[in-house]
Amino acid sequence: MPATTRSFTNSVEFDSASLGRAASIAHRMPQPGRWRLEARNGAGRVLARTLVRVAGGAPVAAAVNVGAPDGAPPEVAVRTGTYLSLHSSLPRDPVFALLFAEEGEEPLWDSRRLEPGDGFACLPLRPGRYRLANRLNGAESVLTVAYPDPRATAKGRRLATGPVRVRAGERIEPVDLAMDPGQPLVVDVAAAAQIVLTLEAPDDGPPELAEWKAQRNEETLAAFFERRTRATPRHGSDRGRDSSGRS
Amino acid sequence: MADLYAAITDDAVNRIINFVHARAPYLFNYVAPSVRIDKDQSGNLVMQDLWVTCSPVPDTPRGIPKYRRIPPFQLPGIAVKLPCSIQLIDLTIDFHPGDIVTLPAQLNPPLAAQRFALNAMVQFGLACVPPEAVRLEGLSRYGLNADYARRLEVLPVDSLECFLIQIFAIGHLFVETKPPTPTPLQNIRVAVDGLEIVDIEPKGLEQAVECYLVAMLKGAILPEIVLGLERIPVNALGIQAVTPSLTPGLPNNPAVEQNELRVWLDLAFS
Amino acid sequence: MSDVSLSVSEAAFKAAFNKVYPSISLPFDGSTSLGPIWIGVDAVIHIEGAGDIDFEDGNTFLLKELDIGWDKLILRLGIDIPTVKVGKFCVLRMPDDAPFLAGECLWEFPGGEVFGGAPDIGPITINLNAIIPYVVSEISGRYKISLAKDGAKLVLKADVESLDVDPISINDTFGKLPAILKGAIAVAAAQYLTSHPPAWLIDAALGLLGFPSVTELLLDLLDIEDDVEEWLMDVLNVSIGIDNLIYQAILDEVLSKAVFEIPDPYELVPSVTADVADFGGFPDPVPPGPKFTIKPEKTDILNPSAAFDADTLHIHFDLGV
Repeated sequence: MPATTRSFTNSVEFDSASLGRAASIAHRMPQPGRWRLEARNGAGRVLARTLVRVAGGAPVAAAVNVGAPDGAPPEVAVRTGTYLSLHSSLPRDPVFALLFAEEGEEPLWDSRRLEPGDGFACLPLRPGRYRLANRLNGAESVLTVAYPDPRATAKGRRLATGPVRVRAGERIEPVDLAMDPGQPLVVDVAAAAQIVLTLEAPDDGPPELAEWKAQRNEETLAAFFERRTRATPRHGSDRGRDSSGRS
Repeated sequence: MADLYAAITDDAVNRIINFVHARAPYLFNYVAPSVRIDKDQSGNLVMQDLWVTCSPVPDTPRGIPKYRRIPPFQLPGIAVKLPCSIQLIDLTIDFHPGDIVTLPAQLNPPLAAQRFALNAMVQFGLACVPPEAVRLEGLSRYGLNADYARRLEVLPVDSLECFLIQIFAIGHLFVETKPPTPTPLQNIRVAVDGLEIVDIEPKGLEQAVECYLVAMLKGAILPEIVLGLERIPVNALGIQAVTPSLTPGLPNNPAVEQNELRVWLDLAFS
Repeated sequence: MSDVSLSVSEAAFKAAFNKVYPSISLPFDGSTSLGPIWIGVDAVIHIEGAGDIDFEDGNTFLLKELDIGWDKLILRLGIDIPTVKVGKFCVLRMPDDAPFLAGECLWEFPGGEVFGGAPDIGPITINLNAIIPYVVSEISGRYKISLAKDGAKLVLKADVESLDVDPISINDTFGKLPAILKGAIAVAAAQYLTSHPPAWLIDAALGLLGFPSVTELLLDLLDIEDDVEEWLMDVLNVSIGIDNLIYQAILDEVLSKAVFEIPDPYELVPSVTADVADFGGFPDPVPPGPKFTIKPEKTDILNPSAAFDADTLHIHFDLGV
């Protein structure tokens, strides 16, 4: 379920170990077979169980909403060698997921500890400076989300779209990253990782922007209507008469 | 073009006259009543109106009188006043062309354009004065002393001397415009062009009577008659807040033609 | 030949018609959605009267112009900023030239919405009373006349056979309408900014939609072209169908009216109050007096007829005497 405005925009932090809104984890399933996926909340309570069938003829990708209010689906199928992706729409409870063999007791994969080959994506919308870190090995980098300056939009500039990729291995590369709001951040995991994104310094835009906006609004209205006030006079009798009478 | 035109046929007018004649006889029967003297239980004299007419008037529904009171007749030298009655027995009207009323030769038939003809049968009744009643003392024959005799308003009779005359008249309508400011008033009036009483001998008497009648009509009666021909059509349609006036520029307005009385009006809506 | 004949000219008929036609205030309202814009109209009209009446042979007449007056014209505007979806697309896609699963999306990021919920703005009220003098409405109708007895009256009624309301047109308002709309949009933009999320989020959403300001976004959503009057006419006529609303509002009011009323029974001798002493020959009992009232003498109206002939309305009837 797509996120709504409020909690989405208040997320100043993303944590791959506590899956919240506007974030997604992808894990590759190379072997055919049957697995059991368990979604658990921060206290370890099982929220839902999903049977994952991996087979040759199954759909190419499967997305599981592990935080769905009515429980994750009981069963999902995915093609061998493709990705199972997880996201959560729970408003408050961060979620992590464990993958077992169908009847297994020991978890074969834990989303709190991403493995090489996994992926983590999130959507940092709020402009500002972020710290992107791997808590498991201490690697860090800086991410800057640019302020969407309407003055640039007025000059014809449009916000960049498309994902921005980083690689989290021994180090996180590139070390200094810049993106526009609306672009997803995609982390290709190359070492054991718990990826955390923290907003350190929000950017509320240059101070002179308020005055520019007021002026822009005024000028736009004036120009628009001045053009339309000079239109040639219309005569009501130009309109044809509706020939149908209604009784 | 006139805003409103109204016309009524002479046949309808005559039927209306007959209708009213039967329903409102007091418009057609004018009587100066006689008096009836009775003694009540205590022996006192009681005097009551005694309505004496020539022709009987049919009974009327409750609340509707038969007669309209007129003052009794006074002859000089006669001590007491005289009862009388004037009854309009029949009244017929004919608008040009004249096809209802046959005019006598004296009125130069046929009826001229824009003229109407009238034929009326009027019955007069006068009380005959017995010679004793000429003087006050003679009134004792009625059982009255001199005191009561003086109080006798009218001669007590129970019958009248009656005679019937037939009157023909021709006339036309004219518009009298009085010019007070700001707007002149238009009054539609009746004018008599000729009057003929049938069968009174000698001829000189007939002519004299005709002459007096015409003079009376012209002098006293007709000036009082203004026909509400402007208001009646407007009121008939229920039109409110409007000032009617006769449409100018027409050859005759109002007109008496084709057996109809016609009027053309302009309406000023307020 | 009928006993009584009456003829009424077109001009007199129109004047009498206009006495009974002016109506009370007739309110109406209607609304429509045009994509992200919601527009409602809230108006009050009254009927002023007939502009031009043409008699047709027989018993119908054409009312070429029924004049209406506008007492109130209010526009209400609600704007729903379109939902801006952010970031939902394919994160990982197999290249088109891959040996297998070419072009398939292996991992789709769900993204999120920036704006939702309707309407985000308004409804704001736009008072168009100032352009009432420039609104032109053309209404015509065909009426049938008939005579019918109604209580103690014979009534000449005019009944609507068909009514025709043209789409309204708006003459050049000499800048009044643009000024009003300009003010309304400024209000809408200001209202949105004060009641909504932080500036950076609005700027992000505007940036994603490609508009430098809320005003430009609103103007784009309203889709006003070169001629403001024409835009408003299209909104009112085509989208809201104001001509149909006017039709509904006035239909019941104009359906059937009495133009002339002839007293029936007709009074030949009016009622009179007079002194008992001036009359005689009363049937028993004699009125106690001193005054008494003679009831009026009336007669029925028979065989009434009403028909048009060229420019005249002819009414005939007989009297039941």
